[in-house]
Amino acid sequence: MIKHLFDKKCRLVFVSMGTTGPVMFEILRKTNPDLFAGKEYGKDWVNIGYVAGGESAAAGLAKTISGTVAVDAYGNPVAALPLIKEADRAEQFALAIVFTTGTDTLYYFVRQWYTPYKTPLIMGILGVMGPAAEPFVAAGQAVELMVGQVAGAEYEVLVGRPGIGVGAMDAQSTSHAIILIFIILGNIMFWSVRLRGEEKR
Amino acid sequence: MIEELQIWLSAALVIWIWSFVYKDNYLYRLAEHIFLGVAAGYSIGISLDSLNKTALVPLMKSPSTNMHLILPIIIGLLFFFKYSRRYYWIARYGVGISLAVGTALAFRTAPRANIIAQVNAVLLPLWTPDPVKTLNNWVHVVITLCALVYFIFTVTPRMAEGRPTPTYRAYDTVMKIGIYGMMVAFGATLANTIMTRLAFFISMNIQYLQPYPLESLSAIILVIIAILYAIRKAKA
Repeated sequence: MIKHLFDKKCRLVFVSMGTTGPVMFEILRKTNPDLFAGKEYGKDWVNIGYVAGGESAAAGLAKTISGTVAVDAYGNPVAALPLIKEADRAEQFALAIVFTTGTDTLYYFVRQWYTPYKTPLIMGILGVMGPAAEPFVAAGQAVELMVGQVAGAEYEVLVGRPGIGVGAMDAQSTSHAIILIFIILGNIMFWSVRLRGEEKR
Repeated sequence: MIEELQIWLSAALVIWIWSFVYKDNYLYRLAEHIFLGVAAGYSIGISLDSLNKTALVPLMKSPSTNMHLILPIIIGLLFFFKYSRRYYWIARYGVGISLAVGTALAFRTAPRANIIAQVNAVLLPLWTPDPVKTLNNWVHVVITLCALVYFIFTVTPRMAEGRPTPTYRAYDTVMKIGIYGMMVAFGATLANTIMTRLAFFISMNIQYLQPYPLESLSAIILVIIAILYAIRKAKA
């Protein structure tokens, strides 16, 4: 997605509301060095790093990034970064993309970014969160959802950059097929035992 | 050297943690303690870094304009009174203030985001030129209303002399449709949960085990020894 956005000349501000975010971001950078090649830090992208505070932090960032965080993940003053000078408040962002493993974070952004400032949201979430997040799309609070590994794989194919997502799909499809077979077998066994019991009676 | 160690550790930790599925053993516990210790240490470190970025650096750079930041730092420090039996009550002020701020921020937009927008999303047109959309909207509206009826406990029709009245039958049918709707939703959630767990399992395998067969095999051999030892100890 980062590659896709950079290809479309988008400028990105990364921020993490969870403690694992900074590690994941650095792994991403380390394993995909080409993503940020030719992109200037501070102008094309900024990494704010982890901001503690949950919903209060999301509200603070929506109001003013430079007023909430003094320095970025690498110790640079946030207010001095050219990109932040241009986009410091939620309404100055064309899109907010939330990748999360917790439904709480979705609520933070719906309540603090979309509802007061109408910043369009895209949500990248775990498969298990899909049914809980679907109402956000139905209510127009999110533009679209990317649910689970399938969405990741589809996105990789869409942007012509197959990776782990596509690689994992064969294994996932096979395991789903096995589960389906076991469900069918289990039902056949259940009904046969039940019918035999009724016959005996 | 560090990368080699990372590969060995990640393969070993993944397999040792999975070994709990078969039997509790020393290597599983070692992996569990390493994970918890590292996670706790890392969380403390990164939280202090966040405090540094949001409060301490601005306070040091321009104390006169950022004097107000002292207040949240003091409120945060109040939490540590939890460790004192005598002054435990002071910690409640910190908890109270942070809860109040969080709730106030959430409630500023919660009625609009969580109630009004969601209710509006159910007010769908029941007749559209697209038959699929019409059917979808009907299902959406009917299931929502029926599921809501299931949760009405204050006024419910009762049987007359042990026999169901027409009102009771209608109420019962509506309630059952609501139950089936909820069951479909719970089923979808459960199916998604299984999909997610499988995705985790597959991703771990692809990232940490499959590319490193020697490391994975070594971890498996070690964990088999640990499990055999656990079985022998349990028998003794």
